[in-house]
Amino acid sequence: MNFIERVNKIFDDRFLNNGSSYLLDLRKRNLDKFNKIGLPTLKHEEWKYTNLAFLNDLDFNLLPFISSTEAVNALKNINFLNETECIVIPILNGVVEKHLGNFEDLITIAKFQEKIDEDGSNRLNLFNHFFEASNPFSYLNLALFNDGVYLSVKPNVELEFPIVLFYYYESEYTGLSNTLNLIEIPENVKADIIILFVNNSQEKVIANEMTNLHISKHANVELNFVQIDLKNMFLINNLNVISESESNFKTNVFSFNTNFVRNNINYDFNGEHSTTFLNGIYFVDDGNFVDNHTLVMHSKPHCMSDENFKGILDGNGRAVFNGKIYVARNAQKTNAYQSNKNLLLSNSARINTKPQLEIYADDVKCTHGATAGFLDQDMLFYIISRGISKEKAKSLLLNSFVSENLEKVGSNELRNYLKELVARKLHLEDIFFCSSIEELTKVSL
Amino acid sequence: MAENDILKEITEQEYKYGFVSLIEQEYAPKGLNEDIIRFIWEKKQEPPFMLEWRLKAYRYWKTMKEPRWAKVHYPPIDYQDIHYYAAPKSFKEKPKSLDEVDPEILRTFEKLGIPLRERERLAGVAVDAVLDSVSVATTFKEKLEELGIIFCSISEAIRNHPDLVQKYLGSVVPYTDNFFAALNSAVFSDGSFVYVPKGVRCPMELSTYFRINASETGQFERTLIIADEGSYVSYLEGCTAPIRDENQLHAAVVELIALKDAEIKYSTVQNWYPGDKEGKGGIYNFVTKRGICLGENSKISWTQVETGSAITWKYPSCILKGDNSVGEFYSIAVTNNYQQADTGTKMIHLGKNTKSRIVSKGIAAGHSNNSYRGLVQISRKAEGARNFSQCDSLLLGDKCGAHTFPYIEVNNNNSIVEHEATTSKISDEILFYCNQRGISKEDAIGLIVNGFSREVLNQLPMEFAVEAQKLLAVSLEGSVG
Repeated sequence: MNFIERVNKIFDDRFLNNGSSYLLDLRKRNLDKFNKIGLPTLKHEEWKYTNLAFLNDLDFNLLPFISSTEAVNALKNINFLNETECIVIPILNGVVEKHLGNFEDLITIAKFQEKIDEDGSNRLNLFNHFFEASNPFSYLNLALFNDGVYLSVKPNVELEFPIVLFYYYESEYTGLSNTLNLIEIPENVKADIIILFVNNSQEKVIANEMTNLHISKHANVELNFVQIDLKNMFLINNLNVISESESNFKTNVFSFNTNFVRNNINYDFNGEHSTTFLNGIYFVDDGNFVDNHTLVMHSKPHCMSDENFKGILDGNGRAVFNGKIYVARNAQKTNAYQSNKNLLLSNSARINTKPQLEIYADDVKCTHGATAGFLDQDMLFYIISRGISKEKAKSLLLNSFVSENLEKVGSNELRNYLKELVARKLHLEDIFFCSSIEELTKVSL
Repeated sequence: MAENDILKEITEQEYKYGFVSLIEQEYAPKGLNEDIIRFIWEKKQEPPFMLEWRLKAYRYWKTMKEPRWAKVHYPPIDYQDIHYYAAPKSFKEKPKSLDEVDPEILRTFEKLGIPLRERERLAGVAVDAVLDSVSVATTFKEKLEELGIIFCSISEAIRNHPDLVQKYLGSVVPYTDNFFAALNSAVFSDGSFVYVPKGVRCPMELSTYFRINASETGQFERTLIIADEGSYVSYLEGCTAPIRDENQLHAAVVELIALKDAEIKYSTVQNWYPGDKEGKGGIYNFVTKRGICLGENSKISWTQVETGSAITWKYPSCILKGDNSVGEFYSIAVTNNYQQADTGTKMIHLGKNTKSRIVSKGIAAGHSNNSYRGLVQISRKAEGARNFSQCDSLLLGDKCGAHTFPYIEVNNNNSIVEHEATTSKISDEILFYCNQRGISKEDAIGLIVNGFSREVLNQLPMEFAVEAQKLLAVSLEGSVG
């Protein structure tokens, strides 16, 4: 059986006689679309550098239900979550658990299925233009989603604590997970969301997760993806964002040593005078693969987007970057920037990058840049000539290369956690990191 | 002048070369089948290996589908509704000297600004003039022969130098390469052939002028340039076609081969009929151009100024196989009205310390779409490779589009690849700055566009730079940012 046949079997076994007729109809429609396109091959433009053929060889079923004890233990190991007050929503093998933390007066948390056709209109309709043939996994998700989070915040609230969606996987057999989340941020809200992936599975996990985020007027949202040491895991992480006027959105994607990650990040400006920042850092080493696919759609005038992805590639690691900026005909006064920089440390590392502009409006400023190279020998020499070992000098340079994007993380706790991780990766534990000028002066005193 | 008036003025620019010459033509029957290919082969009096090769290409072509990945839109082409061969009737055999050429044909080229006779006297540029499917005249042949340089039409080369042709034809662009290359390999009728022997520096610019005259025909020319060890050649190409409501297909293949220490400079000023301001008519320019730097220290440089054609679909590429070889690509693509251009380059780095440089300038006006599509590929063994790419787009008017699709593939850790792209309009600040200094809006735009494209224009040989600059001025006169 190949991937498509298995998917259809799972659908027949598990979903055909289940759920409301509304859901069944949605599932069927999307399964048809998925079947029609099939598993993308290297001939699909958007999957040109991402080989999925191995999925056909995997024998998988839906992931089993698990209890939360293991997940709670895993949570304790992530120290930044212990240091800060936050609300955690565990998603165990794709099933949403009751959240940890108590802020119910400010936040609504529910199961996605309960909310989808609550008021007669499909809340996902807004996102329909993101579910398209170039990404058949969005169809797969809509066809097979098991569970999902619906999240909303009271209007005019500035949340002082982050909301954490904690994906935890554990399975004794090869399993598939499809989670469908909807996050609605009302007007004047400031929110910080962290989406964290932890895999503790002995067998392979195929996770095709999707988050749809709607940002209302004057809202300010930061969303951080933390994908660290994901072994035995094929993660297809889809994020679709629509923002209304005068809103701010920032997303940071951190993929360190992941077996296989594909991030599909789609962003659409649905109002004027909004800004968005998309940043990311990826480290790949032996056997690692990261593919970042971003689409920024400037559908409305007077918006600004700035995208910056940086990668360090070692061993036989591979990375792919595909960034597309689309400026619609009437989206005048658009400013869109994009940059993708890569450092290759080994001769067998590979990078494929494709920064792409599609522009139909004339009064715009759009730039993109992409580089691939190695460490600057002059800089290295400068540091070595000051008595620092070559290894340390390399680490220092690499650290400075990625720190630009690390600094962009809003939450202090998360930023320090990531910095520590990076330092450990680069063997820089003994170097003291100063987060501010004041701290630096204190040290020298 | 009000913005609207100025815009109107550019969109209503006349195409200067749109006349039709009344020359008695001989056609192959419409359609494409093995008999037509035999007909062309017979007409051309080619050796048997060519027939075999053409038929192989045709049979392969029949199994292929027309590619649809480019960012261009056009109605399906009926490949059976085209004459694959058209030649002036007076051409039973190629004339020995200019005196034998039909005066009407000479007048045609004179009207196009390519007076074949005058060129002969002026010395400096040797011209091969191709009308529809045949080469009508090649100047300066004798003088070049003294140096051992072969410059003739490809049909003559097939007859007189079959060994060279058989060795190199299809070695860079095999007939299996793509749909249009396969079609061209099956039916190509003429084009130019250049061979520069070891250590010879070609003393003059070699040039081919392509002219489509007959209607309902396609032009399928094939150019093959071989630069032997340590030689140098600069080659120019120009093209025009009459104004017609129908779309005509032009599918050419150009192959360049640079051996050790050789250098080839290939320049194109492409000015096919672009269609009228409603987008009716015009040439479909689907061209495969590729060069290979076979030997060490060789260099291939492509320069192109693309102003014509309803649709341009063309990626002059370099395969950098020899160590230390260099590939360059300089391009200006101008689109106006409903023109569509999807052009760029491929730089395939295979040898050590290979270098490539891409400078692409796109200018879009009217309702046109202008895309840059490029690939920079550094193979694992291409140690110390270096690439720099820059593609800038200028948008004139709010109905046009500019797009970039750069593909960058790096497979080792000691190469440096840089890519940057910008898209903008002519900013009001710059215009104001010029106005303030007493330069009219018109002139200011000319100045800015000229400055924008200077980097590429500088690469053109003198004789062409003037023509290209004029062409730019005509295409964009009165543009408003």
